[in-house]
Order: sequence, then C-alpha cells, then structure tokens
Amino acid sequence: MPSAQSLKALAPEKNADGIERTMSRIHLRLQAARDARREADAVRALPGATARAARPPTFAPAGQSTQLIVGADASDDRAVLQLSSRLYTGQGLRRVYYSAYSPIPHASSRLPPQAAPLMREHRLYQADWLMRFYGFGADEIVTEAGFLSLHHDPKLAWALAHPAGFPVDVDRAPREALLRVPGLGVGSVDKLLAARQHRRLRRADLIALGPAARRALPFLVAIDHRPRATDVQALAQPARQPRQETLF
Amino acid sequence: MQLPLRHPADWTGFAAQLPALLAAGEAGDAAEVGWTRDIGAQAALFGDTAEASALPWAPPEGWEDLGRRVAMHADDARYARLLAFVRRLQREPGLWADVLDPERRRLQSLARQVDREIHKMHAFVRFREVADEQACGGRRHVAWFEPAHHVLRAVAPFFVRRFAQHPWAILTPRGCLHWDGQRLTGTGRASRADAPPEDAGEALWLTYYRSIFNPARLKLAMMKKEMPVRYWANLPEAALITGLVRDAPTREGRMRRV
Repeated sequence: MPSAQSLKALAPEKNADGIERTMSRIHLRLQAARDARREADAVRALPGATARAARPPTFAPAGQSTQLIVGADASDDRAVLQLSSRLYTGQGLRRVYYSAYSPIPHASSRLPPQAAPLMREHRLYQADWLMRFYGFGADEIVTEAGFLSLHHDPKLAWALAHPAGFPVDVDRAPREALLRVPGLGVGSVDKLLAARQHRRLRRADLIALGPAARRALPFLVAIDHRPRATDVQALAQPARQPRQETLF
Repeated sequence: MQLPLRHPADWTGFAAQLPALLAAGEAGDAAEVGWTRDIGAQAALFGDTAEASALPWAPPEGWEDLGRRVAMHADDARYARLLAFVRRLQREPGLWADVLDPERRRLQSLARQVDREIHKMHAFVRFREVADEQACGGRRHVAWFEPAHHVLRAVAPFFVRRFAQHPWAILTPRGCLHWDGQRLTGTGRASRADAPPEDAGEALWLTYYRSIFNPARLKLAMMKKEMPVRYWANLPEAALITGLVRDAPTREGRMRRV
C-alpha cells in the first residue's frame, strides 16, 4: 500500500514502519557486504603467495525489491512516486513494482468494487523509469492534479507542460536535455551522442532511430530540420484512446 | 572442392577467408549475386587470389561480436553485407564510431533478430518423452522446433547445462542436436514428421498453464509480443490461448460481482 494509513486499514497485520526498518537494516547489510567485497578485491597477491584473499560470502546479490498495490486506496500517483523515490534513494531498492488492484471474489467490503485501470500501472512504470534513468525528480513528473495523465505518457505530458525548454538542438544539447525529449530513450540518446562526435546529425538520422523517435521530431532541431509550433500543438490534443484489438 | 564454410553460421570460416576476399578486390564480389541458402554456392565468393590488399584490415573492437551474430541470420546476403561493410571500414576511418550509419544499423538489426531468436528458442523448445532402449534410463526427451535463423549451435550450451542428466534431442529443419548425457552430436535436417507425439506429461503442463492465466490482467499486445504467433504451431499450450482469452472477460466479471 502506498500509505501507512491504508496499510493499517486494509492490512492491519502489516506495519509500514516495521517494513521500512527492515528495509534499512537489509540496506545496511548490503552496503557492508559490498564494502567487504571491495576490500577483498583490492588485495593483490605478491609473487609466490596464494592467489588472493577468500571472497566474503555473498549477501542478497539481487538486492531488495518491493511491490505496491495501486488503486485499492485513495493514494494518488504523486504519493506513490514520492514513496518509490524515497525507497530508491533512502533504502537503495533495486526495483519498486506496481500492481493495479483487481477485485477477487469475497473481498472485504472496504475494498473498491472496481479494478484500477492497467493503464495507470503502466504510467507508473513509465514514471519509475523516468526517475531511475532519465534524471526526473518524483515531484516534477506528475503535472496534473495528483495523477499521471492516462492519455499522454509522463514524458510527453512533462514536455507539453514545459514548452520553454524545447526544441533542443540535437548537435549541441547536453545528454540531460536530450533525455527529456519525448520519444528518445537512453539507447537513442547514446547513439546520437556517439554519432555527433563525428558528424552533424540530420533529420534522416533521427528518423532512422526508429518509430518512437518520430515522436521526438517536434521537440528537436537539426541542421535540416526545424519543427513548426503546430507540431507540438497537434500532440497536445488528447490522443485517441487506443482500443485493444481482439485476436479472435 | 573444399568448402570454405563448414556450416551456414560459420563465422570463423568466413573470418579466416576475409583477408583473401579483401585482397581479391571488389571485382571478386561480383560472385555475390549468386549467393543462396546453399553453402556450396557461397563458395563462389571465395576466389583464390594471392594479391595483397592495399588497405590494412584491423577489426575494430566489437566487430567480431557483431559479425558472429550476423553470420547466424537466415538472410542469404549476410556474408555479402559483412564483406561490403568491411570494405567501407577500410576506406572510411571513423565509420565504426558512427552508430547511426544506415548499413551499420542494418547489421545491428540482423544481430538483434538473431539474439531474439536465441532467447526465444531457449524459452519455447517443448520436450516430449519418448521410449528409447539405447538411451540411459530407457527414455529420451525429444523436441521439434523451427528456428527462424541458424542458431542451433548457439543454443546448444544452454540446453546441455540445463538438462545435463537427461538424454535429449532437438530436431529442427536446419539440423538436429543430440545429447546422450555425455556427448553432444549434431545431425542433418529433420522434418515435421519426425516430431514426437504427445506424452503423458503434457496434460499436466496444460493444466498448469490454464491455472496460472490471470483473466484480470489480459494484455493481448504484450502476450503476442512475448510469445509471437509464429511460435504457436509448436507450442502445445498455444491451443488453449483462444479459449482463455475468450472467457477472460466473463471470468473477470464473475470475480467482481460475487
């Protein structure tokens, strides 16, 4: 549960403080294990001596992770992301997973009868990635009242809310600025950075990055590409809700 | 005539021939046109000229890794593409660093398709138990699979480690692998008719598959991405998907109303 109160109300045998205390304890042990390993690796054998110091035993090599149920209580996306951010920075969690609440038979009457939209879960994962790999802060991702937009992905929503920062120049913009362009992922940005060390980038290079990068065109400037203001306005229209096709 | 390539994905063989191919000059590449799936026909590319190439060839870091993966692709022009790119690498310094070069991206894309096929083959090979007096324990696990690329050798180590104690065989239209518990051997192509029949464990597997399906989390696009439809023909559980997907909304609705 994203908040201590709802955990108390819906899962009274769990204790939010206790969970975070345990996480901190494991976090400290993980750090201690990492330091011990680094020390052991730093030992260099002298000629004729035994090869190297014994490796300390491994401790939870996969790190810690946790899962949050969203949509079973009133917590908004901002609260969820602030909690994740706290867990990532404070407790060094490897991953926070989000699971949209879905009702089961004979559930408690205090639980909502409706399932949370899977899209909300998807948007939270997108925001989670923005926090971990794209340099976004937990507080700036949610641009609407407390919730992530279900129509636009969080990066596009952020870009539409901050038009002053765009367009950015693919040939000169720093990595941090390119990472904030909707449609450019970490891989695409790294390719652009590697290629621009050798030549100026063109519109064709941006298109060649793949279908997702086409969405980046309204936010980028290149020697032979200059977006029109209407391109961004067109994106701001709420996208047609994609309907899942049926297979059969 | 001695074939320069021992099998379709023989990157080592190709790399060994590369200096001679480069020395032959672009005129020798005319033979590329005749490249086919048949390894014999690819021999046409390998002329026996001794003339030294004017341009030096020093493979950049990562070339070996890329080439090895591209060589496994089913694209008949894969070696021609690799050769043409080596020629460009010789002529254009800095080309290797230009990761957005169209031909470089093409090669990366071929390599990625191969990686994906290896990954999917690790996941989608379904063994069936077959009685076999010669095998130790009197039975053998046999699977039929149709890989889209020449990845059989690349997946072999995984299956040897995973099922080291069981004798098994993987039959494919591109060749077969046989593991007797001690030694791995390869044989020629198999056909669908060699595929093993359903065994006693299959009903158990289907029950398990049916039970772990969660109707409240139906994501068709994701399901098809993870398990592309072209693999369905050889997956016994694929026959269940239609029914599970069709009944999912009703089952989900029942869960909410009760």
